[in-house]
Amino acid sequence: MRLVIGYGSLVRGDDAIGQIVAEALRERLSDAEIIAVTQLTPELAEPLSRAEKAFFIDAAVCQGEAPGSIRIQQVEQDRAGGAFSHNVTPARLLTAAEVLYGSAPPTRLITITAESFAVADTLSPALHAALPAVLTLAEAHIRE
Amino acid sequence: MTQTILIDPVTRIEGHAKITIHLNDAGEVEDAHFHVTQVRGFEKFVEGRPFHEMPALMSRICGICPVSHLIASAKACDALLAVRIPPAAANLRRILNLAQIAQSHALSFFYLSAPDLLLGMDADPAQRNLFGIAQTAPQLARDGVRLRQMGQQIIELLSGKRIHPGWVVPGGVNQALTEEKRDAILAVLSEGIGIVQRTMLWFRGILKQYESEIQAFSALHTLFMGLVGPDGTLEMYDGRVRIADANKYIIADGLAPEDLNTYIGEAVEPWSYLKSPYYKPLGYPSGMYRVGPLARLNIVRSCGTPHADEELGFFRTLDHHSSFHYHYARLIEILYCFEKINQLLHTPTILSEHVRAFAAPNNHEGIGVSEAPRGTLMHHYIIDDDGLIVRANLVIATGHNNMAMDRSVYQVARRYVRGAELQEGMLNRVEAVIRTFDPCLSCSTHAVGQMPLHVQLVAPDGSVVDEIKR
Repeated sequence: MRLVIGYGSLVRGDDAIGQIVAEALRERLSDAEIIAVTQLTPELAEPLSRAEKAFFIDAAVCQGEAPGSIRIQQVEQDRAGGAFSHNVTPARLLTAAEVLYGSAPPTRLITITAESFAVADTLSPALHAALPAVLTLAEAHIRE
Repeated sequence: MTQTILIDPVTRIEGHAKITIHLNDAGEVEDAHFHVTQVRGFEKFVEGRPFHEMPALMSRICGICPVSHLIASAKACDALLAVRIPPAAANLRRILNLAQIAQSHALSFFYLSAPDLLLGMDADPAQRNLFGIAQTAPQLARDGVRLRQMGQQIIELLSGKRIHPGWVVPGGVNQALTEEKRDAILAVLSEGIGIVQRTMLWFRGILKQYESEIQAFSALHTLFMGLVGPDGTLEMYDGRVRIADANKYIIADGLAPEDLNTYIGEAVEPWSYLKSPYYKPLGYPSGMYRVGPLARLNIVRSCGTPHADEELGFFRTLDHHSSFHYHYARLIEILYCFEKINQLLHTPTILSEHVRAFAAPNNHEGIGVSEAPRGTLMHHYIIDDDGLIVRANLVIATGHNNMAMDRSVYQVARRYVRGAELQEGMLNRVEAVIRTFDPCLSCSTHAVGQMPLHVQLVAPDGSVVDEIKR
């Protein structure tokens, strides 16, 4: 089972792109488990541990890149100390999946270049225009 | 030469704070303070906004307990409308609040405090987290994650979202509960009860190892405050305010929550952005009190659910002064939450379609009070003729405990800190007493962030003579 976790705030403009893409993929990837959340929390370690492959989708600031540009990177476990409560990173979640449930799948982080994180419940025009292409690319990558 | 030890910021709490410990010439603790270094802007941000936006806006104060703010805010709006919400809506709000309390308590106990309890106060700080627990007691770590998951599942089933749900509205809730969702919630409750009972059994077994801390955290004697039901049982949503003295004798009872401003005053100290509420009849600072799980269980006649009441019997054999027992009280309350949700889901009207009362504003002033995970929470709004917020005042659970936390730091520092022997473990005990209160500084002032520990020993001339960082 592939797991897709899209995350970000729905009221901070382009930060919503992770959730928007995840929700759109729900229709396109019927055999995947889709989770759309405001922020990553430790409880996600459990579904993560059950996945064969996992994909996190988030908005990102990338100077010089056009809104909608996609970057894909492998997520490695992060075993550094520190608090682990209501706001965690994909790397910490992956570690939690391994430590708590004995299994951590190959995981990739898909970041989508954003333009504006100002308070708004819609995407910026530039990212909105790029959304169809973003969806196609994200879907293709997850299907690989 | 006097010196100051600075713990900045305090770790494994929600928000930012620091602790200063002042030493005298002999290296003994002369004084200590708990400083909250964030500024809350919500009371100002909302001025001029339509009152019906308040539940949604106020739930943004915190990502841990948005439901608590949602409920207190909606109750204040109910008072503006002057409506009595339908019984099913009140019970659905109750269930939501209980699920919130359960998941928040699970975070506090398993994620933030269990590292100290399982691994010890002197353990390597790098190990004192959920990963450290997982390596030593993986089932305990999984249980913590599962309890949080269950609380959030219930919130999501009821309201459609785990964080910042918009389901609770002025006048009730915006959607009735379906039979399918009710059964889905019922299906997880017995597992939750089993997890809590297993955890309590483990925790009872290690209590003896913490006799020194239990005693040290017991030096503080305060009043206790919380809501109780008409028969004196534990009440998280409605009820009346009861105040007991340090020996658990009731000194005020049946107080109307909407009159809170008449018996609770708010003092301001220069060292903290967090206000210091106090019980007015005893004045400031003599009117210091505690709220939250320890206070609630110290003032109630019973919990009103069988398993929680059984545990309450054991709780009453413990030293009721000691803030250390916030931990055990928190576990009892998780148990209570699951049992109470079960009771409420079996009430005859729980699936009623009538879940909202509609009205225009009928009052210019509304106060909403409920019990949040950390204690009594009050939202107080004043609106103009157009329904716009003129003034908002929030008295937050963590704020109620501010004076008690401040004085607890002093008591514990006096017991464990010696200037010449600056050690990680003794500083962690000072932090640990703060953690027993489970303060949510995001709620009480509003901000979030990373919290590494930074301790400085500062000479009177301002030079740093010793330093610990993690």
